[in-house]
Amino acid sequence: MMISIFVLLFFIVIFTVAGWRRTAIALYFFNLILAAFVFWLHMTDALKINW
Amino acid sequence: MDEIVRRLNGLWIVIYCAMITAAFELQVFDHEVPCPLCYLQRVGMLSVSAGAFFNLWFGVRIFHYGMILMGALLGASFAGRQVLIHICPGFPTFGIPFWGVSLYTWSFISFACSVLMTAILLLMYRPTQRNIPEKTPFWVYAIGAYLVCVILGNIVSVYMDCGFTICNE
Repeated sequence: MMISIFVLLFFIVIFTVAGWRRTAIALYFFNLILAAFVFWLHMTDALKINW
Repeated sequence: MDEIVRRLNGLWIVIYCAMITAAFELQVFDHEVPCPLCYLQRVGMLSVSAGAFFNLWFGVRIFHYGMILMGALLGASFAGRQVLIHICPGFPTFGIPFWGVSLYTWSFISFACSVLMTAILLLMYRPTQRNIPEKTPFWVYAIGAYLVCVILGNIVSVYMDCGFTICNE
């Protein structure tokens, strides 16, 4: 899951160079939301709960 | 003035990429394995860099500064969380300090500086900065290549440390 955030960042830069501004912006915000979600999981120790 | 602003955006990317490269140096040569919050701080730094790269590639726009600000605030919250975890007296710090200050504290300082930098560049903003040169300068390509290399390095590093998991300790 953490790796997907960095893969998204890679595609943001690639789409930027390709000139796809709107796609890159959409990916950028999705990336921020994903990072915030992972942070929330770590902050709340939700991963340590035995679901 | 417009060229100065573009070069400042480029410098911003180079500084953040150099910081992450230095973290790689600690990781490889001093065997300092990054924690999940450290990776998230790198995400914040690379998000700020990606926003600044938008300014270089598509021309300087207020919207891009908004994106940078969001990345910087998110990164500051990651770094602030780690500072707060280790702030209690007697609680051990994490990692090798640089000039007596822990790396996550430097990270927080850098995000605070990013917010300040965004404010300064917004004060310098003029609509003519939206115009981009007809031919993209070589240094923009070089900075883009450096940014891509740093991101690829992080992908390899995360894969080796956590695989496809969420980096749960």
